[in-house]
Amino acid sequence: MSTELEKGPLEEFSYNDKIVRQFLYATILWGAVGILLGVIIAFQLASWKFNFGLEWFTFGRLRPLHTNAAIFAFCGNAIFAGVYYSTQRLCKARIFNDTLSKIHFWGWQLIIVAAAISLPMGYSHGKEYAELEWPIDLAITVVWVIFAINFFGTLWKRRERHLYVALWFYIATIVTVAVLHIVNSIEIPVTFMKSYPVWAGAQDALIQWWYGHNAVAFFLTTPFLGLMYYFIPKAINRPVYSYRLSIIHFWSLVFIYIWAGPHHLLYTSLPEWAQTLGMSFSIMLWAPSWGGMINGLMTLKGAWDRVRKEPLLKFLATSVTFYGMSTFEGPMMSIKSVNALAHYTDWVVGHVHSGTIGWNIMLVSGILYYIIPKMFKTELFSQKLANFHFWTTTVGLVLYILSMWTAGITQGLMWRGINSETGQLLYPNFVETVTKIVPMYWVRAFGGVLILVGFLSMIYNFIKTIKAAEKPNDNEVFQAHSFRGVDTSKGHRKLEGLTALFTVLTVLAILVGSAIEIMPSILASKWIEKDPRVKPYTALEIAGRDIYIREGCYVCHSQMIRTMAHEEIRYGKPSQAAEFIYDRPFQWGSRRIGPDLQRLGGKYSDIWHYRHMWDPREVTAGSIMPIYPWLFKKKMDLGVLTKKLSVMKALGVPYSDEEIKNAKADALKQAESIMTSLEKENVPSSMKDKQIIALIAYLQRLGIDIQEEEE
Amino acid sequence: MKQLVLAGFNWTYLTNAALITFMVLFVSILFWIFRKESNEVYSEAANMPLLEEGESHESK
Repeated sequence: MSTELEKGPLEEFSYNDKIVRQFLYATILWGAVGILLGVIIAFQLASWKFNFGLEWFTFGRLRPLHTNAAIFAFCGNAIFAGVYYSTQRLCKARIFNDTLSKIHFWGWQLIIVAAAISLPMGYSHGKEYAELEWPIDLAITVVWVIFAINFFGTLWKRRERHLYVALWFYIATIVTVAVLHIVNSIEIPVTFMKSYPVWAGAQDALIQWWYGHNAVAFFLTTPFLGLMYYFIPKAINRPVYSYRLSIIHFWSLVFIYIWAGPHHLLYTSLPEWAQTLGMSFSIMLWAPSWGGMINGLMTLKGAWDRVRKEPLLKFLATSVTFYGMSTFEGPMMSIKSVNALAHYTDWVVGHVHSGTIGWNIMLVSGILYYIIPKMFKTELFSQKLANFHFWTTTVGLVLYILSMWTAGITQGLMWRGINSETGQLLYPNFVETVTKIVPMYWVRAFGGVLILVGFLSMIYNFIKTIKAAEKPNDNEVFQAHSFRGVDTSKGHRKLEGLTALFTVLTVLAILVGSAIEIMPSILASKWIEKDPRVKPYTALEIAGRDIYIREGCYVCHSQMIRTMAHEEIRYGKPSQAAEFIYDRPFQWGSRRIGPDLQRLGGKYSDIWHYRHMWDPREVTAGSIMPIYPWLFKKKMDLGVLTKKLSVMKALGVPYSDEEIKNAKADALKQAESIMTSLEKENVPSSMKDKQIIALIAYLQRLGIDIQEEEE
Repeated sequence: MKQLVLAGFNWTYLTNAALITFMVLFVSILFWIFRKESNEVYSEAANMPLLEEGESHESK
């Protein structure tokens, strides 16, 4: 581009499109798997019977698998495919290194397979979207670094001086995801597939949601905005509406997004200034988000007649529209008073899916409809089928969002209903608020089936398209002028010429917010006043807690009572930061499909818990919780407790050497005392070494420390 | 708790300074981005994704 004077020597090159195709196929495969898992767990919520009483098939284990498959397998592969395709073309250069590309592809698929095996087996960190255990965490780091080398290597080899806006978003993605993943995954291994985070309690919660929210920001948003800036202009053959707006959009988005994490922790025991800061920045985030949305939609301006006819453009236009809607809904839900109602309800689940289905799946589908016929130099097999895909997805998504809004607001209002005369809860029985919304769960599941059917029709459409096409020619040679030794640019353009400086500035932009947001975690010892009543968990309770984490109890139960009247009446005294200092990982949760468990200890008898885990409906009519028969068959693993306690001690938990040495014996002693109480209710003594005993020990411990003294 | 935390974060001048710094930074970036002289540069840049096919010259 530009004038003759600027050009360097003419060079020849070809693109590595094989790697793009591999990532595309993986995207399609894992997309189907991720959506299928979503449909399965939707039915599990509609009826507990769909858990089939199978250990590896329960909601608590499949839900993390669904989120990981959707985010890291489906969206991850889509990002890599889109980034490799567009970066090569925007840089007029082949991907830096073919071997690294191969390692990147197979490494990432291996990580996904490892996740697909380990999560149903119960190997989990117990932190949302960061469930994978430490060996997989390490593998993710290695593969991500390889991706970074390959990407920055391509920028280094490029024949186009200017870095197009899509590439800036890719840069922000690569550096920020690296920072987030590493900081949130600092952990100490106990065994091959078990580790404890160095962060504890409120500290861990803050780091996790700084990570969690920015996984949305820098894994599901920035890379896809980059793809939007490349593929929408490509698909309609018009330049982006305003390049100036894209510059403002980019810098303000990466700067502001990173601050928003604490809106996941409003009314919790996080310092109030951090909550208010998180809320303020979430509201500010509305502006840059809509800057991007407007830029995407306005690019389609003047081509609306084509949007009406071409399914590919329908997908792209709808995706940007949903991006706009969910980035309006998000800031609104971050307002503390709105969040008071929305938090822990299905409203949040609906919001997330309007982003992931409306924005991510729609955009990726649009890109796939563009890129696959183009790569195979052919026409799409059936436009009609693509239209069918569009409408099933749209109708399915609308059903999903509407049912979750209804369910969320209904349940949220029922929770907070207080009789103004007696001061008592209107719905004191939690399960009442659940059975009320179960019909909505059927609607949601049906919406999910529509989305799955649509996605499968796309796969069929592509198989037919590819079968009818000729094998693509990967050796096609292109020519472009190098710009080495020629330098005449200035302004923002010059900055983009200096990739390293640009990247450093991007890192600075995300580190400012990170530094402030993480401060309460770093200064935890200063503001979390130690409460002498709070004692470390006993060995048996640690064993029980690890079972709680393994079964994914946190996906349905919170352990965080917010500072609200109705919560105090229902659950007891609001949680305090000091109560969580031995919680590794924290288990505050994000959704109450079941009640909060922070003050569960002592509320029911041991036999109640025993029967509840065997069949929840024995003690709570109408419960939708799965059954856990394997806890009554499997033996506790007490041999590893010494190791677990010593790792905890290394992290600062005040266990004595004696306690560590006698961990197993102490655990057996505590198990015996629980067994004594159970035997009175005719529980066979053969249960004494089963996992249910450890879990009861943990559940009976919850929230006890602070209660005891006050009674 | 709030009082306790505020006692440990008593740097009001810091928040004021940050507000002014970032506001000034943002406004100056706006001015810089909307300079008229850069019209040509931006329209060239915006057209980048549309140019790429042009230079293919042979197929082996």
